[in-house]
Amino acid sequence: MKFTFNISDILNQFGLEKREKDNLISLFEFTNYLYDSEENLTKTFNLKKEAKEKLIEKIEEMFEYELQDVDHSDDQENEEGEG
Amino acid sequence: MIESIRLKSFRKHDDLQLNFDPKFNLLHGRNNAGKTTIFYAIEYCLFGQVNGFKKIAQLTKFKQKAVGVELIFQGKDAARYKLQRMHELKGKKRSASGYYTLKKILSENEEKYVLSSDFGNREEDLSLKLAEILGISKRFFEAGVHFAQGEISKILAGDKKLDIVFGIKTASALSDVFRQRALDFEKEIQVLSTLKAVIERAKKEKKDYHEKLAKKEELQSTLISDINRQKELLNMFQDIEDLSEEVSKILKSSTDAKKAVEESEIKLKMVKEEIEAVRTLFGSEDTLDANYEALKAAVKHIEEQITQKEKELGDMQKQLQSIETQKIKADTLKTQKLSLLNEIEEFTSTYDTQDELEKQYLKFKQQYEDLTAQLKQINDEHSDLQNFFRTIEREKGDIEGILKRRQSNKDNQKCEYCGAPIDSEKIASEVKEFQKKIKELDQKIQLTEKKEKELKQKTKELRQGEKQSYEEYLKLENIIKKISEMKTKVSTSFDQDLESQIDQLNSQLQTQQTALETSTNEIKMLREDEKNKQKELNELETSIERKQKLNAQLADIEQNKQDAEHLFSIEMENFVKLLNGINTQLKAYLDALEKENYLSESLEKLMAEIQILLQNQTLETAAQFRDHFKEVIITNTTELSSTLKHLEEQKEQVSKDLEELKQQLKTLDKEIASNEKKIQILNLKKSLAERYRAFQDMFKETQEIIRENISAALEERILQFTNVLSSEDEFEKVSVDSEDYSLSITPKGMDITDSYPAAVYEGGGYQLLLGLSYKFSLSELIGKTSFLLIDEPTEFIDTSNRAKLLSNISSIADNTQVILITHQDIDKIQAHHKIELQK
Repeated sequence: MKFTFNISDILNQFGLEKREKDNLISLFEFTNYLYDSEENLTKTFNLKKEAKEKLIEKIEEMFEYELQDVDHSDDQENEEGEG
Repeated sequence: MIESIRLKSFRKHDDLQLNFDPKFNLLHGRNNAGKTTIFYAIEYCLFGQVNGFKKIAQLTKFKQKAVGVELIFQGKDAARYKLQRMHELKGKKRSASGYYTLKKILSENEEKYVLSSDFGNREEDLSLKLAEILGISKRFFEAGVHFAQGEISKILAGDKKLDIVFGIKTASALSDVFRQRALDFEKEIQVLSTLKAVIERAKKEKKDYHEKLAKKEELQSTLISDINRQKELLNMFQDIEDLSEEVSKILKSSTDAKKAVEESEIKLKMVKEEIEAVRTLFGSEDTLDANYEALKAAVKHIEEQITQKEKELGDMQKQLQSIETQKIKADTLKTQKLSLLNEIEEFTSTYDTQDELEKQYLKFKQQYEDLTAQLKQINDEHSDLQNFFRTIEREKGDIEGILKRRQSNKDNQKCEYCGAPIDSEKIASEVKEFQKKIKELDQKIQLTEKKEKELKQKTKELRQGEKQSYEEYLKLENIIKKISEMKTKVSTSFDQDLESQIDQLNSQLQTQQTALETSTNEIKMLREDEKNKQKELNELETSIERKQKLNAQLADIEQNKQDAEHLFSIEMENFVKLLNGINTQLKAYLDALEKENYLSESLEKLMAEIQILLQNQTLETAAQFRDHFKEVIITNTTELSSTLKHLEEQKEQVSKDLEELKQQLKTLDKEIASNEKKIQILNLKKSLAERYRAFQDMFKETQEIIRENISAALEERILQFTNVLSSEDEFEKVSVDSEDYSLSITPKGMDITDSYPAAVYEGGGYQLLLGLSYKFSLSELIGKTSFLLIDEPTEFIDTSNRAKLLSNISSIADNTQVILITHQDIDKIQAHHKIELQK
């Protein structure tokens, strides 16, 4: 079988859950988008600090929402306590 | 697949619409017709920028302020999309503001918004969407979709950026980021066990606090109960204390009443003594009254006498005033008469006698009349002289006029009356005559003027004399008139007996003054007598008033004494009632104390004292009881209050302790909750760290998979495409360097282990062929794009092979839309759609 570059096909090899796989594909495409712009790259074609921070923000948004939920619930408890 | 494109103010195109076939499209036209611009427009519309153009202004038609492109294409999902993009240029620097809209075309008349910058969507959203529906990113577009003019064979030397296109860099970056993120979390979760231990300790501490809290609450409850009982006793004792106040009040009013009785008795004695003294002075009260009445009658008689005398005196004074008035009038008349006589004397004294005065008067009168007559005569003379003077002046004026005319018009003299010419000799004689006449007239005028001057001088002198005479005459006339008037007045106004009248009045005045003096003395004596009698009367009145006051005082004091005695008896009755009340209250209080197992000897002693006092009610014993009662109350109240205060202090301390314990518990709860939350977060992070480690490994492996497979896959495809594009089977093998992606070839017949770098192999035609094969391979390998944009691919190709190559490329378009730009051999090329751009 001919090798075709397709991230979805490659990720299939790792037995991921569909949701996780979709998230990783989205993240891969977002990273590709960052690589599309010369402004985001160093001379050796690596991501600059600002672009890396954008990538981390994306990771937080996709995988770390539970952490934010816990923090948020803390805020809610405080508000109720004050109320 | 691109269906159509529309360019507005894009580079050299004002407004251009092009439609494309799903397969092979040939875009042709002369040089500078704007063929390559179409590919730029596609790139601009998809990515908002064009490689090689730093500013949007460079893409905008000259002098235009906006640029826009609309692209209609079919996505991988077979749906039709319309992508519109435009930029506005503002200011001198022509800075650009861009907008885009991506719509899904549902039918001929119906579209649905997918993304729009107007709705807050970013460029990032569009890029990701295009990657999804077209399968191309900007890097892929540059490497595998757009075959730029003159750039095709450059790929043979390799391109490090292909790492990005293949996603190797992306996989590497993701692996790194996940590793770093996992590492951060792993560091954080190191405190997890410590936090758990802290929570355990806090929970144990919390249990201890709860036990302490329960004990303190029990103590607080006991103290509240004790305080309430103590307050009840204090309230009961408060009632007894009120009775003590009542005892003091009753005793005070009883003592006051007793004192009032005693004071009344002393006062009664003193008043009675005073009444006796008054009585001793006047014998009896009747004698005092009789003396008073007799003296009052005597005073009244004297007052009547004084009134009569004063009336007589008033009449005398009136008469005296009348006489004095008459005398003043007579004296005034006498003075006036003397004054008039003196005046007459003064007037006549200048002229010796009155006859002389009249003579002088007549003399001045005559003089005045003479002078008036003279003045009239001189006035007439003056008038005549003035008439004569005017006549001479007129005559002189006439002659001077004629003379002037004669002298001014010597050659043509004419008669001024008939106009006939006049002989000049005659004129000369006339002039002489006229001049002589004027001289004579001047002399006459001088004489007349002299005479007039003399007349004026005389008139002046006469007028002065006339004025003096007239003034003298008038003055004397007035004097005579006044003397006459005064004489008449003296003879008519004054009585001849004025002197005797005055003498008589003086005599009357003296008599009347003597009588007045006598009367005044008599009144004075009567007033003295009245004063003495009045003094005596006043003394008697004072004594009578004093006597009456003493009698009234006596009655008041007796009444006061009775009232005080009555009050004392009432207060004593009240005192007995109060004592019985105190006895009852004390008994109840002692019963209450007994229930609490308390005894109070002082209160029992007090009850015994009440019984004695009820038997013997004297003020002295009552006062002793009051003092003892007060003392007992103060002692007991102080004792009760002190106990209560002590209990309340204890209660307050317990409340404080409780509050503190609750606060500590609250703090502990917060601490536990906070730490539990931290543990929850750390557990989540632990789980994430594990996942991220897996992702790290996964992307590392992905990177390796791509790198391992990409070279072989490329090599296989390049060889295939080379065979498709060229009928000659020239290469044994092609190989792609896995680091820099440069291409090497092994021609047929060469040892398979040997190879040449493709970038330096043979001529430009071969390199272009290999470059196209490489590009087609990239395109297929990465994403199988739905369209290819190929710009002038036949450069360096000889004429015989050019058409063949293009025909072979068109065969690729059976599966992928191709839009190809060329300006050579248009007629020989078979294409599904040929588009010619006019210059």
